[in-house]
Amino acid sequence: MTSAGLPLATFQEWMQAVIVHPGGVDAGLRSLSARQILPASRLGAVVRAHGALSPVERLGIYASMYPLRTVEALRSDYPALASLLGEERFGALVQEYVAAHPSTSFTLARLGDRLPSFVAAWGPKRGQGLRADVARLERAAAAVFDAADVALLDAPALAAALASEGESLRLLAAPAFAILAVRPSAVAVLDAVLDDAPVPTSAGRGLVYVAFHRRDFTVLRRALDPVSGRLLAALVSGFPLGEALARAARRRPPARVVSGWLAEWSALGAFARAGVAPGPSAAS
Amino acid sequence: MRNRFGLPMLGYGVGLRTVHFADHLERPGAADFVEAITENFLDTGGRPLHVLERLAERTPVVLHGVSMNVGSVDPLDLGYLRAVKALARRVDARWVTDHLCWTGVAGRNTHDLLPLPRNEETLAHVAARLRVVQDLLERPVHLENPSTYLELASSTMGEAVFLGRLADLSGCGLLVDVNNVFVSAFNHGWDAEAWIDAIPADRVVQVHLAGHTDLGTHLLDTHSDHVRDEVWALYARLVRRTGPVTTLVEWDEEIPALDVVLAEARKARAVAEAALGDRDGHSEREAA
Repeated sequence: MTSAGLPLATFQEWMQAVIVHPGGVDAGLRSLSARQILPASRLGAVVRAHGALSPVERLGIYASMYPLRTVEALRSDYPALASLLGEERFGALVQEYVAAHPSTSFTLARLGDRLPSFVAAWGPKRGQGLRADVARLERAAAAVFDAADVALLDAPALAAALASEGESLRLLAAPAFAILAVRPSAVAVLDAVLDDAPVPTSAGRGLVYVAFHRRDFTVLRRALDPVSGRLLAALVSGFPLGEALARAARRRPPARVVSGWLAEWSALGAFARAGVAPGPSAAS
Repeated sequence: MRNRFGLPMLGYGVGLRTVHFADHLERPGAADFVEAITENFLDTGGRPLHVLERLAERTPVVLHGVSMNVGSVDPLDLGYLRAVKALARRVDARWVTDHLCWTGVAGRNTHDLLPLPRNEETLAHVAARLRVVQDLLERPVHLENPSTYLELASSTMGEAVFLGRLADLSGCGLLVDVNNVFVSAFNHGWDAEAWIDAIPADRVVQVHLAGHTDLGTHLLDTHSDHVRDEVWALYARLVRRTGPVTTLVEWDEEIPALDVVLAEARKARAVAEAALGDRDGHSEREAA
């Protein structure tokens, strides 16, 4: 240590350890990672005292901003989850989540990327599934909002491809499109937040399919019945049409019904025009 | 005096905020120019980028970043810098700015503008990184003085002197946030007028104005209110040194209607013109 402070690298390591500590600035100063660099008693050798605030209080300003900023960012991305949990529990979730998955991106928009999987194992088991589904819905909506704007496969091009490829047809999901299966009550939570109505807390039974698509840069939501939902989910996961149909229903829907669905989904912007569709994703 | 980079005076602009997107699209040219927070447009192909591109067709755009992390000891994020360069080209950004700060180490981003010790070690470190950044972006970068809440014992020079030397060493320009000067001066007992008088005027490419929150023991740079009278006075003092300078009003919390922010930008024009009128009139009287 120099007489007047710490070398730049050491100072930055120390200050970050102090201000991001989930226990606040006092706990941060006492933490092992901070103490190994600077005993709390030597704080005055690094941070100047001036005016009404002590060095600890000055560090505390930065330490208090960190949780505020992360909670605000994640509340903005997950408003329905925040409503479902309530202010205090959502704050606790964010604190644990950010400690496990600190931001490593230049943008706070990526901070919540892993929140759906984190929340699926967080808190009391009762309600975990609902909380995870709400988070998945909100993550999907955000991803569709930010997705690249690409040329879409329109209905005539899709019909031509279908005529040419038949059940071997593979379709490439558009970046600004997502479909997921969730508990019905997760959708009800989203609706309640949008309508400023009381948030339901029961999980409900079964699954519903929800698609997010984008029109004029606005994200829209569409519910699908189980068979068409399973079919579309299989298609955008990369399965060829024949296999997707087999996964969707024991009894195949009539060809004209399938053609109608495909035309409807292409109108929603579900499929990209360019590129070769990859095989099924591991998650499918 | 014109800045040494030959960069144009863009006028009196406002920060581009999501709540004003529709207003800006309906009234292109309502602001002389807009400043976009770089990171909000780097990782999206959706509406934000679409709006910025439409606006850029009619209104000059400058990019203002918060994650360059130029003061950190971490390696520079080359992917980030490449994305900034691509965005700057895409929207024909007139220039790119960021802050004299660090935002994280060990791969983390605290998303805060953290203070640096102002000494020879930091000066050499930041200047070297800035030169790399400017080479990669193929344009000068202009650094802003952040609001700070702690001073480091290892600092050996004042902020304005540090910025001036950094500009000389790296070739960067300066974005003077006059509200930040006032906030930091209050928080650390600096002389704000001396700060303004010490900054190299020909390096100043842009000015920021904003409101702050007085918490009694310290001031917080919240961008949540009108510009305070004391900050207007410092702005006038700066403009008398720089001459007409591109000036932007920031408003990030409790954001009012666009017209309110535009009115603050018009006030900046009036303050600057009055300051320059005083200066020129004074010079003319001296010459007579």
